[in-house]
Amino acid sequence: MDERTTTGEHPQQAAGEAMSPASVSIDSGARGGRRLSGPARFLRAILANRGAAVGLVLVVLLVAIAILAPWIAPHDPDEMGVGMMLTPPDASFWFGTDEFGRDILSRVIYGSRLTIQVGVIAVGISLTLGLLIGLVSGYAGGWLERIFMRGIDVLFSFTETLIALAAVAVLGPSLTNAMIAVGIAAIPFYARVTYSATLVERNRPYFEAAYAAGAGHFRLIFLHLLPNVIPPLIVVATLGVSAAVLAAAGLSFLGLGAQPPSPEWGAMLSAGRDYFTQAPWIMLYPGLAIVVTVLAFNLLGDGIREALDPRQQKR
Amino acid sequence: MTAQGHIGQARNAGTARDTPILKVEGLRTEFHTGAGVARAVDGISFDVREGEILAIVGESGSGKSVTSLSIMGLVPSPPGRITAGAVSFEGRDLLRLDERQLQRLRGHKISMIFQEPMTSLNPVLTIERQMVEGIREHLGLGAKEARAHAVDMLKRVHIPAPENRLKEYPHQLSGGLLQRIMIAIAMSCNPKVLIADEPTTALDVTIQAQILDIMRALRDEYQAAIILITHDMGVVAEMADRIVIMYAGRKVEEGSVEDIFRNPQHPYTRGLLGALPKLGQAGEVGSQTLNEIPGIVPLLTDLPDGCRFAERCSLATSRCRAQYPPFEEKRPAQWAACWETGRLNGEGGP
Repeated sequence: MDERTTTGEHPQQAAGEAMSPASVSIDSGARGGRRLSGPARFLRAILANRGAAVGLVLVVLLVAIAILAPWIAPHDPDEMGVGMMLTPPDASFWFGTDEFGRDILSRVIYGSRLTIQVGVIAVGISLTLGLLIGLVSGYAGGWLERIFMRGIDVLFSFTETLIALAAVAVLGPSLTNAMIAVGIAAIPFYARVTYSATLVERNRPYFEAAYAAGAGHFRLIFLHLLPNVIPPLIVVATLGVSAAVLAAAGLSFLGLGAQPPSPEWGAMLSAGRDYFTQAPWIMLYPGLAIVVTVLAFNLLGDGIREALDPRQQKR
Repeated sequence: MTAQGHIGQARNAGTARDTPILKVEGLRTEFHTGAGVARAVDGISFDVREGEILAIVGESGSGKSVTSLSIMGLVPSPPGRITAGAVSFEGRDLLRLDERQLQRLRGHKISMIFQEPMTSLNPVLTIERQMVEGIREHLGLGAKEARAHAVDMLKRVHIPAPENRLKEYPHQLSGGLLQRIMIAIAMSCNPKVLIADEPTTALDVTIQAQILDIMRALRDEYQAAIILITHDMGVVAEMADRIVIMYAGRKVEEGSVEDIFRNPQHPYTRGLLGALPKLGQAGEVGSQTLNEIPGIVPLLTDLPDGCRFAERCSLATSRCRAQYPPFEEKRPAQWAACWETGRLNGEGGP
């Protein structure tokens, strides 16, 4: 490589020549949109995947519906007798009515707010705690690592549902507690992913160089390691939203989460069971809402994973 | 790069001072492996003076990198352990300091640059972030002053448009630029000792020379002592004032660059020099094949009692295999550990 290229005369050429072969392909892909900022380029990489684009649109739609619920819902979700009991879907009640004559469309719309809450709070809990446990264990090693990771192993040997059930049993049934329970139950997963990413990063030369330059624990963990372990966690967290939504709906279905008359989708499914043979729409629409939401986050998560994985760059 | 050709001009006024700034005595570092205890560094002693460039030379596995890691307190433990010795620096033994005290020294009074500039910087942080953090921590500067200092340091290592470079990420820069940035970071807190572990090995030859020039200029400017870890005798000839030659964890020869290049007193040193291509000597000697040293470095877990080089040495006798030779002064200010120096010299030049 000619050193002249690094003196700023030919910045394009210099950047290209300085790259290892792997990064050249990435860089040349982005060359056309040189002015694109990092996030914009990332977004474009996600949208290049059709499934991920669909997922992203659905997620945005879900969030929009949740925010706009009071304006777009035709009725109060909890008001009984807005129509006849168990009315099949028709022009005035698109999704029909339930056993109390409540409008199912409005309830599904308002239910999206609870679903988003569940996703954000449960994933927030598991992400924060899992990240901390994984980072500290991977960084510190020794007895701290042994205690934390063996504890995580123990939690891993129970199914998530069992842990969530146990947590709700202790905390008492309510939607808030269900969120906490689901969040706690997923901690091992996040901790494990963070831990393995941390182990990889802390063996990289930049980490040793930073250590040799006198960086303290705090700087090493939060300035150097944290941003490098984030990418896999974005994927895990996105996929984790769908898992959390599903788990919380499951708890509500079992009567351990949202309590009536809350329009939580799982609880609506549960309440509709008795009428399923006469009025299948009671269960159909909340069920569909859950499926679409879970699907949306899964598609988005997979798309992000592909966008972050250099080996899966478009050839 | 020629070896002998540069010896004369590489010398510099910086060698005059006599008080050692860093003194390593009897350092012994062991690694506990599945195959037994590997003594990577076995009783190494040397010192460096202010403004001096000391080269520690040896092939892979000779313990030169572990020596530098031991000085910095960077030996991974487990499996590594420093079992003996002392490293005196400013009246303190670095091996007795606790982690917090060491942390304050690292990157400040003693700093280090590594072999692979491409991977020695954090890929997700800007150059500015990585430079400024250390400067603020060690020198206690505010954000603005630290940034100005970073720009100043980048100028000193001849980086064009330093303000723009600060905003960039490592993957946007070339290896030569990154190594200059590593040097700028290492020098930014005005260290007394700079340890450079094969700083040019991963770089193109044209860029190597620039990096070496920059290091020499900074040495002259800051009067820092530089410990240069390398296996490249060309770089040694270009840069160093004194040389320590290591083999299988021990020091086999020590002396000034002139003495060692002109009169190596250990067969291993002679072998290292014989393995160098020489310009300008083509007409003198008939055979111009490069000499290799036969064999490989012995396993550190299974070292012979006698001279560790005996297996590969053409002069080895039964005494060499039975007894480790003393490290003694063979010529004024030049030491070597060899029983057969007399025969080595009698045989004539390499």
